[in-house]
Amino acid sequence: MNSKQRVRIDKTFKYLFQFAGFACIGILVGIFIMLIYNSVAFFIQIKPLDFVTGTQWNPSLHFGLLPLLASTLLVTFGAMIIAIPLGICTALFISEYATGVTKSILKPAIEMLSAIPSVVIGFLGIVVISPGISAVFGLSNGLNSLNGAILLAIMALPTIITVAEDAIHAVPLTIKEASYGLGATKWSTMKSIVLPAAYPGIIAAVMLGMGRAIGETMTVLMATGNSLAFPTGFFSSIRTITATIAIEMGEVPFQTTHYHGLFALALILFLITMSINVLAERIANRIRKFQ
Amino acid sequence: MQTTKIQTKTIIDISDLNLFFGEKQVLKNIGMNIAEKMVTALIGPSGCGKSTLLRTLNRMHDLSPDAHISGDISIDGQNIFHKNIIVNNLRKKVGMVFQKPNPFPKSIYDNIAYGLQINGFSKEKIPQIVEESLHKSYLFEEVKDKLHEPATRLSGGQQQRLCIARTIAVKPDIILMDEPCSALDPLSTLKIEELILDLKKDYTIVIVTHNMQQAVRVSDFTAFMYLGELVEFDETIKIFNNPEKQLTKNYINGHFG
Ligand SMILES: Nc1ncnc2c1ncn2[C@@H]1O[C@H](COP(=O)(O)OP(=O)(O)O)[C@@H](O)[C@H]1O
Ligand SMILES: [Mg+2]
Repeated sequence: MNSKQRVRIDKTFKYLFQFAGFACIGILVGIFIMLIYNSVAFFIQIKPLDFVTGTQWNPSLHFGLLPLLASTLLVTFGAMIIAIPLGICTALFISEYATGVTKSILKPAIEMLSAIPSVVIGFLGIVVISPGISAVFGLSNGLNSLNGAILLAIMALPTIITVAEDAIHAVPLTIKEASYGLGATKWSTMKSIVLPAAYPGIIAAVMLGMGRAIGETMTVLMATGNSLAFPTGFFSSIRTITATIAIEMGEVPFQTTHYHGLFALALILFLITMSINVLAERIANRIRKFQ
Repeated sequence: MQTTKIQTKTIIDISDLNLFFGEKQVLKNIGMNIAEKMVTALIGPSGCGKSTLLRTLNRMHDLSPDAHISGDISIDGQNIFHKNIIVNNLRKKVGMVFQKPNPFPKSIYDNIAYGLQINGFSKEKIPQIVEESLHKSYLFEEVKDKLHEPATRLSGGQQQRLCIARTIAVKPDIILMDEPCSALDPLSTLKIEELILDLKKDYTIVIVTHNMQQAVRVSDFTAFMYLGELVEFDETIKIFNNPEKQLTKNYINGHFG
C-alpha cells in the first residue's frame, strides 16, 4: 500500500465519520422543522388562542387542546405522586440500608422491571389493575386515569430508582462520617446531609421518570379508556396527547387541518418535555452551587 | 510509664484493646491513659493503626460491619462499649476532625448550625453559638461577610478550621483529630497548630500526626505505635529527647517510616 492510498483511506474514513455526525444533527433539525412547518400550517387555519383555550377535541369541528393536555398532565401527575416517594425511598433503602442478599436481588429485579415492553404493561392494566380499581371503588369501568397513573408509575420507577440510587450512592462517605461524628442519627444524616447532597441527581431522576411518563403512548392508549370528554378526576376516562396522535395519525387525510393539528399537538408535547428539562436543570444548578 | 512530671487527671482509660478487621488484627493489646485538657499525639509509620485507634474512641467503627473489638475504653469512668451507652451522645461528647477537610455541602453558617440542631440546642441560641465557634477557630474575621455562602468555596485551611468550629460548637469534652493538617499548606498548618494550643485550655485533644515537628510543637504526651502495638507512651519531651525503646529512637531519628 503506497502512501497515496493510505492518505485516501484516511480521508474516506474522516468523511464517513463526519457524515455520521452531521446526519444526527440533520435528523434532529429535520424533525424540528417538520414540526414547526406543519404547526404553522395549522395555526394559519385555527387561531392559536382558540387551540390552547378550546375545551373540545373533535377534529371535524373543534380543535381544543385543553382536554388532551389536562389528560396528559393528570395522568402524569398521578404517576409522579406514586412513583416519586416510592422511587426515592427504594433508592435510599438500596443504597443505605439493604445488605447482602436483599440488595443482590433487588437491584436486578428493578432493572428487569424496565425491560418489560410497554404493551405488556398496558395488558396488565387491562386484565389486572383496571378490574381491581373497579372492584375497590365500585366503578363500572376501571379504564381510567388512575389506572394509567399506576401503570406509568410502574414504568417510571426503574428510571427514578436507578438514577436516584446512583446519586445517593455518590454522596461521599467523608461527609456522612462528619455527620455521625457530630452525634447525628442515621435518619438526620439521611435527611439533612445525604438527600440534599444527592438532590441534583434526584431531580434528574424525577425528570427522566416524568419524561418517560409524559411521552409514553402505548400503555395509556390501552389502559385509560380513550374518552375525549374533559377529565374531572382520577376516575375519568381520558385520552392523552400521545394517545390522540397515535390513534388519529393513521386515519387522518393528508394535508388537512386535522393532519396539521396533530403536528401542533406534537409540538406542545415537545415544549412540555423541554420546559421540564430546563426547569430541572435550573433547580439542579442552584443546588449544585453548594457542592 | 506513669512516671510523668506533669500532674494530670485521666479522662480516657484504654485497656487491653484489640481490634480486628475480619481476620486481620490491627490493634494489639493497647493500654493507655489519656490526660484531661492535654494534647496527646499519636505517631508511627503509616498503616500502624493510629487512625483505627482514634476511631475506636468515638465508636466510628460501628459503621464498619467487619470490625471486631475487645477490651475496654472508659471515658469519664464510663465504659463506652456498654450497652446503655447512646452512641450519638458519645459522639457529641467526643468530637472528630478528619484528615481531609469535609465540610457539608451547605453554607458556612449551616455547617455549624447543623450539629446544634441535631443535638437539640435551643433555636435562639444557635446564631450566637455559631459566631462564638467561628471566633474560637480563628475564622470569624475571614468569613463574617459571607456566612451564607457555600462552605466549599473556602480554601482548604479555612475549611479545616470550619470543621473544627462545627466540632467545638456542640461543646464536646474531647476532640479527636486525624492528621488535620496533612492536606494543608504550611501557613494554614501553622494557624491550626496555634489553634490547637489555644483549644487545649478547654478540651482534651488527641491528634494523629505524621509530622514529628508538629507532635513536638503541639503535644504534651506522645504515643508511638508500631504494627498495631503501643511501643512507648510518655511525655512528649521524654519521647523526643530520651526514649526508652530503641524502636522509638530509630523512628524519631527517621531511620524508618
Ligand atoms: N475499614 C477497614 N477494613 C479493613 N482494614 C482496614 C480498615 N481500615 C483500616 N484498615 C487497615 O488497618 C491498618 C491500620 O490502618 P490505619 O489505622 O488507617 O493506619 P494509620 O492511620 O496509622 O496510617 C492498615 O493496614 C489498614 O489497611
Ligand atoms: Mg491514618
